[in-house]
Amino acid sequence: MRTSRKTADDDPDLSSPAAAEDAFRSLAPSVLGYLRGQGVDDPEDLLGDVFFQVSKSIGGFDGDGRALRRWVFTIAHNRVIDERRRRARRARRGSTVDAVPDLPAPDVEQHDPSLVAALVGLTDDQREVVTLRFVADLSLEDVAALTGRPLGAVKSMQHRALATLARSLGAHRLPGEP
Amino acid sequence: MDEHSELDEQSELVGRLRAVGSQPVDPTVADRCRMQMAEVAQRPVTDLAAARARRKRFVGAGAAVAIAPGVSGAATATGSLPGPTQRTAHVVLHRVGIDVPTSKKRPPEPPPAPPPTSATTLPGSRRPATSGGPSSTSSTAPGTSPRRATTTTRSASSTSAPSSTSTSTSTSKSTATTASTSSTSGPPHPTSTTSTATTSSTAVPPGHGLALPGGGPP
Repeated sequence: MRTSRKTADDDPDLSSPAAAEDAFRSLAPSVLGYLRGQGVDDPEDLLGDVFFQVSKSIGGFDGDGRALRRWVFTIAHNRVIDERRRRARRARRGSTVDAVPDLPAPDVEQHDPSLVAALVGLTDDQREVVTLRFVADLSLEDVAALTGRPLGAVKSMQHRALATLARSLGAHRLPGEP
Repeated sequence: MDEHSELDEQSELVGRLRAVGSQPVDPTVADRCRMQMAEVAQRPVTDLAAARARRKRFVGAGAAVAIAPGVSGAATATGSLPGPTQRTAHVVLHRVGIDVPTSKKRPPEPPPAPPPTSATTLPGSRRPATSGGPSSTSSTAPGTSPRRATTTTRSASSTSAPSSTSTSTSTSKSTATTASTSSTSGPPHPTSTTSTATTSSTAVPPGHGLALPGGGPP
């Protein structure tokens, strides 16, 4: 089941200077959801970093809407990795602020807080695969290429991640939640 | 398990995951992102080759700035600058207590001024005068420069001797040569012959020399 929505596959004008704006309009919601699902400290700030990089580099991009989506999420994926490394370094230095685990900021309005909390309970690899696959709406092949893992491994991770999420959400279902 | 059947089983969960990625971005956040993107758009496009060339120019200019004072200082200290510049550097730096030699080379002295000459000239001084006549002894002709005319006059005076074997008819290129010829009026003189031979001359049979009024016998 695929949700019908406007995506970068609608062939944005990649040749014009407004290509970055088109990419932002079509991909910013899914990029922000991916960043939230990854449990980064400040997803909105990182969203700005991602599209700043997109604006800088989109002149050298050549491809269709699907390739644009894969390219933008590659940038976002790399930003998430950088942010994790930065956080790990700060944690090694003994900063008490960064000693807390990956949890969404409480003051940020979450569309599905229980789901985001359940995503935090996955391993990094599982969370990465499941967010790229469903939040970012990439194909299994694209996820495998982006993460540098074999396709079979990605399928396996996706299977385990969905099972874990289902268990976690079923056990922690809040009143009024689906 | 097939992926499609798994997704069908987890359709509710997958739908919730997809919904996370379809939430609209807060307008404030979107505006902030657009401002960042606009900063990129306002920057000039940096071509890689242009950036490399700019870096080369920068390095070259830096090297020139670094080397030029040393080179000019060394040239000043050794007295290798051009004469006036070296003298100026000598004077200026001497005032601040730095001893710099003056120029090694002296400017070339101007050539000695030619002695005053008579004002009589010959017309058509470029043309060989193979025979004497009134025209060859006339005064300054129109279109003849004073220097040329003077030189020719001296040549004529040098060939006024009866036994002169050659007559200088061209405009002499050297003032010294003509001066030596002018000093040999009268009897034949080796110097006169030699000096007139250096100029373009035309052999004239004896007795056909130029005659000036009041000159020697034909």
